Amino acid sequence: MLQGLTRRHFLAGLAAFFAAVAGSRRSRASAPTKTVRLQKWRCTNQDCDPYIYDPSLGDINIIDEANPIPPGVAFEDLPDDWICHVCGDPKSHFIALNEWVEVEVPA
Amino acid sequence: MSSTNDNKPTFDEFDEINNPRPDACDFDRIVDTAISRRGLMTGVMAFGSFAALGSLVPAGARAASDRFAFSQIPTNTEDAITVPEGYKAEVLVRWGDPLWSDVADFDHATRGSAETQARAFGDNTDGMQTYSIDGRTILVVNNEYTNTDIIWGNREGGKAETDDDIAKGMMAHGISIVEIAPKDGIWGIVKDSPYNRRITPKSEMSFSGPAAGHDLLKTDADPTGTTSLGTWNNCGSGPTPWGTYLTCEENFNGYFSASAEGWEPTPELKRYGISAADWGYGWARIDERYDVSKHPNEPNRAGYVVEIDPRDPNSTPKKRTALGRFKHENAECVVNNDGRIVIYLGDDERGEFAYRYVSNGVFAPGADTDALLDDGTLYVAVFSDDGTGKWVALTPETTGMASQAEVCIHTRQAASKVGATTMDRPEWISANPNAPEVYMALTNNKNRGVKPNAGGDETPVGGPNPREANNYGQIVRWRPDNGDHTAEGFKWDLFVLAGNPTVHSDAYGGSDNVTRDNMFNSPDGLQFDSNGVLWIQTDGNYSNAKDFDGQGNNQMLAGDPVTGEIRRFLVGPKECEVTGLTWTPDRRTMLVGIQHPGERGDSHWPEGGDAVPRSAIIAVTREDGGLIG
Repeated sequence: MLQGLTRRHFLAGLAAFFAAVAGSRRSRASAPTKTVRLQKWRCTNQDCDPYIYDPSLGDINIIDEANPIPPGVAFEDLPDDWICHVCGDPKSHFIALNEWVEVEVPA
Repeated sequence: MSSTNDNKPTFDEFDEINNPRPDACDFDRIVDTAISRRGLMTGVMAFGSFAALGSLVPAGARAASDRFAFSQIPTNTEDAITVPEGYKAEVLVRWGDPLWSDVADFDHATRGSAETQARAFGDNTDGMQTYSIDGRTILVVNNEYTNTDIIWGNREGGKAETDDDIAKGMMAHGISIVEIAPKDGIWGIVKDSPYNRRITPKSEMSFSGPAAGHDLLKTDADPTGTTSLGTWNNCGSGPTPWGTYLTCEENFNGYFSASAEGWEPTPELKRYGISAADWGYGWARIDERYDVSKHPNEPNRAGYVVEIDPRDPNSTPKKRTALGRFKHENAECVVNNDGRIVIYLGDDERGEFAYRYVSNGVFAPGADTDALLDDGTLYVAVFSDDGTGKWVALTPETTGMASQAEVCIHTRQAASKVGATTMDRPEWISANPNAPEVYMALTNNKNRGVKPNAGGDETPVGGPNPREANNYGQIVRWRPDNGDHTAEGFKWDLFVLAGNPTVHSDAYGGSDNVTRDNMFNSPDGLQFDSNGVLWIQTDGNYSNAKDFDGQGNNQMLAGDPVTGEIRRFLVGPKECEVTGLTWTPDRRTMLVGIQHPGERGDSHWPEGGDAVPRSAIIAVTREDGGLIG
C-alpha cells in the first residue's frame, strides 16, 4: 500500500510543491498573502503515537517523499491516498481536533 | 548430545508420554508444574536450560529439531489463514455471532444493532483463556475495540449516524464468555449455555485494593468511589491459579472527550493520554460520564486489571487497583516457590514500564483467595546494561506520594519517580512452565533515542532497548535470582531482536535466530504452551515493502527457549493482527485470535466474496488428531 503512487497524486504533490516555492518567493518579494485558520487532525489507530496532522507544519508524505506536503494544506485537501507516516493508516482514520492553527498562504 | 539413539521417541510419542490427554485446564497445569518444581529446583540454573524437563526426557528427544512438530511455512499476503501441511484451521466464532438462540444472526447489511450486539460475540477478539467447569469448556475472551469504518461501514464515510450506532460500538467492547464444544470433531459455540455472558462498558463492577474509595475515584454517580460501570479496551488476559480470569484495560483513554470549550487535561490526565477529543467512538454523546470536562475523575476509574469469575455468571467483576493503573497489556500469574502469587505486567506505551506484583499472602488451593490481589506490593523494573536488573517497590516512601492509593492511581508517575527503565512498548509477558524465566515482547518504539515519554523521562538507547527508532521490536527475558520470582534482582538477555536481514546488515537485520525465512516484525502476543514452546504473535507493519519487504501479513511463530530457534507456523489474512492464544482442555485444538482483518478496507475474511471482514477466533487442529501444544 506504500506503493500506491498515482499520476494524479504525483501531479497534485508537484503542484503543491511549486505553489509553496512560488509562495515563499512571493512573500520575500512582499507578494500578497493571507492568513487562514486550519484544523489539526489526529490519527485514531491504537498503535499510532498518535500522529497529529498540523497544517502549519505540512507532512513528509511517506507515499511520495520527493513531494512533501507544504505548510498551509488543509487536511481535507490532502490527496485521497495520503496515509499516516507513523502507522500507515488512511485519511479516513483521522478525526478533527478542536485545535486550530493560523497559517500564512499566498493570497 | 547424541541424536542417534535408535529408541528415540517421535515428537508425538514424547508428547503422549509426558502429556497424557488431560482433563484439567491450563492453570491447573501451571499450578501443578509450579508446585512440583519446588522440589526440583536447586540453586541457579543455566539460563534457558530445561533442568526440570530434561530429567524426564530421553536425551535424543531433546534435539532442537524435535521441539516443533511442523515444517516452517513461507510468508504471504493472502486474504486467508495459512498453516503448515498436516494442520487445518476452522472458524470457531466471529464478531456478531449470537450467544443466545433468540438473537438474530449477523446481518452484513446493517452489521447489527445495539440490542443484538449486546447479546452477540464482541468485536476485535484479543486475550482469552479456557476453563473446565462442570465438565464443560468455557471460553472467556476480550473484545478489545472496534474499527469505526467496519462496524459503521454501512454509514457514509464509516461514521456513526445515530445514537444506536454509537451504542452498538460500545456493546461490541468488553468480554464474551461462551461455552464451546466439539460437534462432529469440530469445535463450535454452545448457544444458550447457562455460562454464556457478555460483559460490556455498562456492566456493574466494584473497586478493591488500596485505591478503592479514594477521592480520585469519586464521581457524581459513585460518591463512594467503590463501584464502577464496565470495562473497555481489554487487551491481553491471564488465568489465576484459582480459576478466575484477569482482563487488562489498555487504551482506555481514547473514549473520553470534553464538551467544554478550551478544556485542557491536567498533567495527570495528560500522562495517560486523555485529551479533548476521543478516537472517534463518540461515547460521550450517549453517556455523559465519558465527557471529561463534566466528570474529570471518570478516567481515573479505568486502566486496571479486572478479575472475573467465569463459574458464576452473576458475579460482579472486581477492579484490582493494587496491580496499578496504566495501559495494561496482560497479566502473567506465577505461583512462586513459597506459594506467593507473582503477577508480571506491562504498560503498552512508547517509553513506559514493566511491572511486577507480589502478594503478601500465599496461595493454597481451596482457601479464600480474595486478598491475594489486594494485599501486596507493586514493583517496577530497572534494567542495567550489564545484563542484570532489579525490581523497585512503588510505595509512598519510595515515590514521595501521599498514599498507596495514589501510587495505584498514578502508577506511571510513581514509576517515573524511582527511575524505572523506559521500555520499547511492553506487550505480552509469559513465564516458561519449565524454568524460572519470564519473556516479554517489546513490540517497537519509533521514539527510542528520539524523544522522551509522555512524562518527560528520557529514552536512551541501550539495555533491553538497544536500537534507535526501533521499528522491528524484540523479546527480552529475565531469570529471577535463585529462581525466586519475589527476589529483588534478576538477570536478563534478549531472546530475539526482530529485523529484516534482506534489507539491513546491521542490528536492524535482527539477531542470529532471525533469517530471511522466518523474519517478522513487532512481536506482541506471547504464550508458552504446556511443553515449553514459546508462541509469538505479531501486530506489525504488513506493507510487505521497504523495511518490511518480504515479511508479509501478521503471523504466529514458535520459538524454542533453549536453542533460540524460531519457526513460522501461521500467517493471518490481510490487514489483521494475530492476537490471543489458548487451547481446549484436551490440548488437541489450539485457539488463535484474528483481530481487525481489513482494518484499512482490504479484506473480506473469513467469509470471502463481498462479505464484511469480521474478527474471529480460529480452531487449529492436526489432521491426525494429535496433540498441539
